Amino acid sequence: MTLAPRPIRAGARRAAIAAVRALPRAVLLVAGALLLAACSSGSDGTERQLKAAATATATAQTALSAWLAGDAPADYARETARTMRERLTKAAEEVAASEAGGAARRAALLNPMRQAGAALGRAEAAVEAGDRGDAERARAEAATAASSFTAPAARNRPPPR
Amino acid sequence: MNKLLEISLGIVTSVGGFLEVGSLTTAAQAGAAFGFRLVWAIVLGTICIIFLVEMAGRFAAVSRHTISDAIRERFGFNFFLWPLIATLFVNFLVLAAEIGGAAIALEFATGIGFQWWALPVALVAWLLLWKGTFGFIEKGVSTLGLVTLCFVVAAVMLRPDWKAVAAGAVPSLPGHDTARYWFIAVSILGASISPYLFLFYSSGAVEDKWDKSYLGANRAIAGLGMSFGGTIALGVLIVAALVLAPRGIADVDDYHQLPLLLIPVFGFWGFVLFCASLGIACLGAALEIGLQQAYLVAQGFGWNWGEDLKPRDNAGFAAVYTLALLMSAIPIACGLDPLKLTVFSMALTAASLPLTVVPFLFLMNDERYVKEHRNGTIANAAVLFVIALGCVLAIVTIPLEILGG
Repeated sequence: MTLAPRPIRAGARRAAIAAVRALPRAVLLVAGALLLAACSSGSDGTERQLKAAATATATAQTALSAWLAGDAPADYARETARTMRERLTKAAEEVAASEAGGAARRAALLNPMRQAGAALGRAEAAVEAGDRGDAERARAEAATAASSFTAPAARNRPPPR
Repeated sequence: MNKLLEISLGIVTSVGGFLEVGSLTTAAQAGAAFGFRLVWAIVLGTICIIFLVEMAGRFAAVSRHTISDAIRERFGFNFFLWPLIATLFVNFLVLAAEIGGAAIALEFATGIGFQWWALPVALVAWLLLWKGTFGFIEKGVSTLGLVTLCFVVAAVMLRPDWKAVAAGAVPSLPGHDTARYWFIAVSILGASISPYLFLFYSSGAVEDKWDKSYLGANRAIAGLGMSFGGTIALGVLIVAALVLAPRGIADVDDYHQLPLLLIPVFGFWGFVLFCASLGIACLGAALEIGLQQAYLVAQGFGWNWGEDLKPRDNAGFAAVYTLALLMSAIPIACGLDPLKLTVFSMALTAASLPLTVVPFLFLMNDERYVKEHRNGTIANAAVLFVIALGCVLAIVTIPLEILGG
């Protein structure tokens, strides 16, 4: 299935070049508009980390609940709890390192984030040991600790329409 | 009767082959973060891919050329190199993402880390391409992909507010995370309008020896198959909006979050269905993209090509898909996060679209190839609009997403 080359028509080439030349202008225009929009609605680093921490805790809780109900295998629940604990730890580290929001607010957020991380660590160990009681207690502890930082994160998120 | 059977099989193939790791992930991200607000991106992407797939089939049936060899013939080899390199690179990333998706499904099923599965998945895909025929690849694996319809079933079972879903089909600005909103929109467009989809379709039409008598069948397959396929992506978005968001999972940025889409709806079977859907859909897509890489290079360089030929009769073609699968498995085997790779490669796909689609539109308006079956104004305008939108937004939002973490 080989084909002999046929030269391109000059008109087609001119049209293609014109289209390519118009692209950078359009990109700049949209870039400017989006940058403005992104800056005006942008959240600081602490809010982003709060949201990440809230999502990580919610994911781990849902996966643990699924395992407790017999709807998900132990390997999956344990790995999800481990990954989400690591994300929570990373988010807490970034909140600690951030200078936004004031020291008092950061301290008030860091404590529950660390508690939730520790609870997820216990849940991970409980799933590994097959101890449903411990896993349920650790899941509840994570939920209680997370309520301190999930509420601010949820306030920043409008409901789906 | 025979044609009707072919149309039915074609539609089943399109539906079963529509969902892959890109459309699954981007739809889940959209639903979890923005509810039904990004339905329009799926609708727009589906309309555009219907146009492109119909054009690809029409072009192959009338001209008996594939898109790649016609671009090379019409514009010359030097011009053809640009779309060739861009498509090979984007396909490489998407193929790696698909291998990663299948590997993740195996991690969920076995508990063994995904990186250990990358090379075995590539080996199975290679064996299927080496031993299988085009019909087997196209119809066999895609028919298994019908399992992905479980997302549509889940969406219906969750009883969404259909008026709100329909309202999401009208584009609107988000009240938060503007840059992320547009980045996800672009990723959805990239996932829906992957160049491999219509390039593969055109090569398949030539492999199946389509002629003008297939024009009606082509229209039905493109229209119905892609619409039903788009419905599956819509199902994923609805499920994510109704299952993940209410549980506080607002960002889908880790692959462990994905099975939670179906578990609350189907219980343990939800976990099994998710693993099966992800594994089969990604393996099917990996086979198609591996083949597409070989089609591109072989057609571009004028080698023998055809999945129905024995590997010894088209050694170059077989060597390309072998290398493509091996190279794409390496990043995943090294532990690169398949989800991050998926989202990035989908946005990059959107950015690269003009390089393939614009020359293709020139061909679709060239009477020397398509005779009286040239494109109408609506088809040209619709495809150009969506491609330009996707490309411009991708070029803008990729740096914004990287800067914003």
